[in-house]
Amino acid sequence: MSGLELYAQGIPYVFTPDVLLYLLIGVLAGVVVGSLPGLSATMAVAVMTPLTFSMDTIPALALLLGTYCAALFGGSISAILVNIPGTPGAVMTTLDGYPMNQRGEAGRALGLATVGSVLGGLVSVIILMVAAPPIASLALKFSAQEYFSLALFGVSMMAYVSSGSLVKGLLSGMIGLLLATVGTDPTTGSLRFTFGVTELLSGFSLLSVMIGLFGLTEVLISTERIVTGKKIKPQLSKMLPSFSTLFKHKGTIVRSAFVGTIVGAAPAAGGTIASIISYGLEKRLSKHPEKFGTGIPEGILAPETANNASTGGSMIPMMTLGIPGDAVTAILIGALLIHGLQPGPMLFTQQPHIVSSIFLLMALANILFLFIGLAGAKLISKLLNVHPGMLYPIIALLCIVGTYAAQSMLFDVIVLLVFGILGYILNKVGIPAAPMVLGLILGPIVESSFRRSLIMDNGNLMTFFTRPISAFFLILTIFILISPLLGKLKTYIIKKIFNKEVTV
Amino acid sequence: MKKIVLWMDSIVAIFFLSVAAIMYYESSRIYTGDGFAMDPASYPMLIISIILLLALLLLVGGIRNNLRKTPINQASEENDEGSAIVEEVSPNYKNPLKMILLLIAFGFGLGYLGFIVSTLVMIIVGTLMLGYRSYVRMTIGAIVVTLVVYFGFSYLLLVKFPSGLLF
Repeated sequence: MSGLELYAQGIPYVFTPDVLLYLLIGVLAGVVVGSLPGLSATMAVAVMTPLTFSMDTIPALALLLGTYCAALFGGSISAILVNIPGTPGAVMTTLDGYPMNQRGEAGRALGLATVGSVLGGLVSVIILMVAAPPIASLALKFSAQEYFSLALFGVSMMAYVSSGSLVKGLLSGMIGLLLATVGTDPTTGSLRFTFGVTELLSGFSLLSVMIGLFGLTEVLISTERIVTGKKIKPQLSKMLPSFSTLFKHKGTIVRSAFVGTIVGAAPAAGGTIASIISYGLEKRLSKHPEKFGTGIPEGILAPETANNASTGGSMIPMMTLGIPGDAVTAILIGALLIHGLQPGPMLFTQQPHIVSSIFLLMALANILFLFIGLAGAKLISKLLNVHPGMLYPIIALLCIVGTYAAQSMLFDVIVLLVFGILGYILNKVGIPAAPMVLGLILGPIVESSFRRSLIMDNGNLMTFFTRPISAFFLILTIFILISPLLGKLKTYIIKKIFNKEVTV
Repeated sequence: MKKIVLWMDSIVAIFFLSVAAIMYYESSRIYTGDGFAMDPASYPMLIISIILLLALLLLVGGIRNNLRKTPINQASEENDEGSAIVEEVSPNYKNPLKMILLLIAFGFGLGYLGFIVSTLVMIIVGTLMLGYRSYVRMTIGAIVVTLVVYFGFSYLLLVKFPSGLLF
């Protein structure tokens, strides 16, 4: 199928009243949730997922993608108005957004954040549309060995970029892979680790685990610090930046859009890392780096553009290879699986209208939150005055009800509570939850690919290294795993050669 | 308490070593010896072995880090932690514990009191627990949210909630 044919496939599916309505609801929900400190884009998409069960696939995607794109932008609202990032990706926005607000230019700051996010998101969607089909074509040639290596690379990468030590991240990932083995072995039909519990025959409910670890855990963590300050009354006038302002900072916008897309495309890296790298890059390239942090437009445009540009980038590995680009796309994979879709290259050949719809929905979502962000900022700012004590029980309720709604089984609620508590404990001991979720999602791929590869090559483990793409990803994985040791070795060698103390 | 925090990595490692050992034993009970690819237990055993190795690394790392710390180093770390970040609000660890107990009670309540009553009670108790004191707004909010969620999920998403003694 030619490129243009692919892009047009989704038009009759997307431009219908119900799909556009769900997209609007998703964008609204995303902006609201993203703007509330303590709630994240990951949680927003996780809680939205069970609401999509009774929907058709494309309306479901509209709701989820709208929430995803808008929530990343929504974090900038509280970052600018109250100096607290609504989402992790808005951390860098506080550095210049809040000082600009303190000068009485809150409207200008929000306008820059909104337009930057929209432009970053749109550029990344264009790159996604151009890059995804050829990567998918290449991925069609993948065999079991490549899928195994790639999935393992994804889990390792998530462990590497997660907070805490690499050992803890890998421990989390391996536990996820082990949890994925619970239930019936697909090859032999044997029961594994069910301990006599009938509900575990089909394994742990992916949705319950995801909402538990990303939704309920975050609620529990947020209740540790209930912050209630004075009511905010922001001065929100002259929000839309002029064309001349945007043209003056075109370099920042373009560079940040590309940085965000590329960083987002790396498995496990997401908007937060993209915004940090982009901010650092712009500061380094600026003729006046000392002005960063005082409330300059570049200090807002760089992180916000990169943050939203990561959305398209993250979708590239998710759609073409079935490997998530960040925690949110890990949940989107779970959502697609629940709707009977298998992310990966076959999606492009078997269901091109789904692929095309995703492109169109993401582009429309970015355009929608331009209007909602600018028009709704005053209303959204009032939400920041809502007492968190009122919000958290409601979010916990939505987590529980959403999980129950999937199969009307109280067992799923029990799993949700168990993993919510587990996620909280893991957070306290410094073990990240994201690798565990990724391990659970990719576990079936890792196991089936591994076993199939061995069957195909008579149990020869070298089969993973004789195929070049598989070998490449395995070597990359090994490099990630030994990188802390390499760092220490480098320090040791420099110390020995130059007889210097070196801090890394 | 400080000692527990210092040895946290080691405690976590020992926990995972124990769990891995139990899981390895469970795997051995389904082991058939039909070769790695066909045996249902071989792959889990491989993953468990990696978990054991990682837990050991964590244990060794935890013990080594704690043995390296001298009283001076520990004191300077404590001072650094105190001065590095000024937190506006100290964490209140009782709140998450209260929320967990409340949610467990809510789970039980669903089966006995039904969705509407359990939800109303959960929201009101949870809101009070987290420090909100505007009783009128809280009650109105709880009623509105409960009814919206109930009717939204029941009639729009066709979810059948458990009914209890009341409704």
